[in-house]
Amino acid sequence: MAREKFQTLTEPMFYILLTLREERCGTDIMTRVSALTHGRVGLGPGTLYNLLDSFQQAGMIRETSVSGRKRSYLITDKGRETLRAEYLRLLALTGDYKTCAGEEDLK
Amino acid sequence: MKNVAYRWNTFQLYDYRGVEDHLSAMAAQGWRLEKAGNTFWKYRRADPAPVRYAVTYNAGASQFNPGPTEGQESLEELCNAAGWTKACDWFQMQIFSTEDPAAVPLETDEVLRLQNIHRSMRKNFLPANLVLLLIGLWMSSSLVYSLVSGNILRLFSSNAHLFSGALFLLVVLLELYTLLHYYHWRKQSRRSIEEGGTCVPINTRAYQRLNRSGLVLVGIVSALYLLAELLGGGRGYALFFLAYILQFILLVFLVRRTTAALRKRKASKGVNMAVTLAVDFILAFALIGGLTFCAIRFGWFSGGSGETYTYQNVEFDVHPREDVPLTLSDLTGEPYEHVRRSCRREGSILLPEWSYWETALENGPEEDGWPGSLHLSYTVYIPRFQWFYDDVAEELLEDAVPRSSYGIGYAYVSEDPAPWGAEAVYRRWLDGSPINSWFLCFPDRITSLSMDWEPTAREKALIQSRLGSET
Repeated sequence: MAREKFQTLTEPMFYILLTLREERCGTDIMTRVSALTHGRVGLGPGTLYNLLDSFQQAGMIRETSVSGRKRSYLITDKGRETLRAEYLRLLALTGDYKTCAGEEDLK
Repeated sequence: MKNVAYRWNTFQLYDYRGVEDHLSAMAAQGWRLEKAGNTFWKYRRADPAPVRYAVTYNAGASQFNPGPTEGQESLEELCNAAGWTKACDWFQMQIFSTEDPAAVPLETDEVLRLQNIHRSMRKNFLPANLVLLLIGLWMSSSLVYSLVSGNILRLFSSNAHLFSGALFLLVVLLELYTLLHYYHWRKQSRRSIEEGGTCVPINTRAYQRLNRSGLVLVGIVSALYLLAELLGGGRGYALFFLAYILQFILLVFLVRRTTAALRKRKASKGVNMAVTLAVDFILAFALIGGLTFCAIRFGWFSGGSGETYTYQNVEFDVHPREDVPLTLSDLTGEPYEHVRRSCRREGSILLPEWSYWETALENGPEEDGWPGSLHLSYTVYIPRFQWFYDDVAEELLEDAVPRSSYGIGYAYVSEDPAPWGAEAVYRRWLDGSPINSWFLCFPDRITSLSMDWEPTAREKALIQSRLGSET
C-alpha cells in the first residue's frame, strides 16, 4: 500500500482518466464507466469524489466548469501521460503473458 | 406516542460499519436518523422499511463551517446521482441512505476508504484524544508518583488528590485504549486490504460496552469522592466539586451554542473557530474564577473566616469560633479578650488532617508597655488503617526537618512520652537547643504541636485528653 501515488493505476483510476478524455461531470463519469465496462467496474460516488479530488490536486485533471453543484472535468497533459504509461504497462504485462503462456491457456 | 427519540452516541468516527448497521436496524424498527449531534443522535418515527445506510468521509467537513463546503455539495450531488440521499453528517462522517437495494455502494475502493478515514481521524478525533491523554497523564502524574515512590503522606494528602488522580488515571487508560484500538484496527485493515480484503470489522457492541463501563466507573469514582468529602466534613469541597461539574456542563453547552449560533449567522470557519475559542477561554476563566472566588469569599474550604477587627495592628475575630478542640484559654485557664482562630480540615478519607491555629493578645501589658501575644497551633493526623501508621509517622518526621541551606540545624529528638500519655514523643531542636514544637504519637493519631511555652504536667495531660483521642 506504500506504493508511490499514481505510479500504477487501479481500475477505477484508469477508467476515470480514460473517460475524462472528453469533458464530463461526475455523474457522466459514473454512467460512462459502467457502460464501458458493462457494469464490471462499479464506481461508488464516495470513491469517485475522492479520486477526482486527488487527480485534481496532482494536476492530472482540471475543472472546466461549475454549474450549481455540478462540476465538469477534463484530463490534462500530465493525466494523459500517466494514462499512457499505464496502458504501456498493461501492454507489457499482456506481452509477457503471451511470451510465457501463449494463447493456449485462453482456449 | 412519541415521534422523536434520542440515543447516546458512543460510536467511534472510524466505525462506519457499526453506524451503517445501527441506522439500518433503527430504520427497520421505524426510526430514521434526523440529526447526529456530538453527544446524542436524534431519530424521528417513520414507517419501518429496509433502508440501506452508507457512510463516507469528507476530511474538509467541519462543525465550524457555515454550511456544507463545495466538496460536500459535490459529494452529495454524486451520491444523489447514484441513488443515495444525505441523511446528515457527524464531523467528517457523511451519512447517506437509500431504499434501492441495487444502488452502487458509496465506497468501491478500500485503499481510498482507509486513507480517507485516516485523514478524517487526523482532523478531529486523534488530536482531541491525544490532548485528553496528555491532560490525563499530567493530572494523574502526582498520584502515580506517590504510588511508585510509596509516599503515603502525598498519596493521601487530600480526597481531591486521591480521587481526581484515580479519575484521570481512568481517563488515561480509556484514551490509551481508544488510540491503540484505532491504530490496531488501521494496521489490521491495511493488511486485510493488501491481501485483497476490506477494512476489518469492529466489534461495535464490545467496544461500546467497554466505553460505557469506563464512563460508569468515572461516575462511581466521582460519587465516591463526593461521599468521602461529605463523610470527612469537607462539605465545602463537595460543594466546590458539584459546582465545578455543573459549570463544566454549562461551559460545554454554551461553547456549542456559540458555534451553532455563528453557523446560523453564516460566519466563516476562521471567525467561528476564533470566536468559539475566545468564548471558551473567557467563560472558563470567568466561571472557574468566579467559583474559586465564591469558595474563598464564603469560606467553603476553611469553614468561614468570619467578621474581624483590627487592634494593635493585628486582626482579631469578632466572634471567635468555638468548634476547636483545644484553645489557649483551655491551657492557661485565662479568658482572652482579643483572639483569632483558624481551622482547616484537610487530608483524605484515609488520612484526615485537621489543622488549628490560634493567636491571643495577653491581658496584661509586657515590660515595654505593649501586651504580648500567645500562639498555639496543632495538626492532628489520623491514619485510618494501622498498617500505614508507622509510614505516616516516619514521613512526618522526615518532612518536618527542612534540608536547610543556611546552616540552621533542625532535628527531632525522642523524649519521655509518659507525661504526655503518648506512645512516643519527638521534640524539635534547633541548633542544639530544644524548642516548643513536638510530634506526639497517640495510639490512633499523630499530633504536631507548636506553642509559645513549655507546657506543664497539667497542660500536657489536657493536651493528651483533647488531642490524643476522639473527643
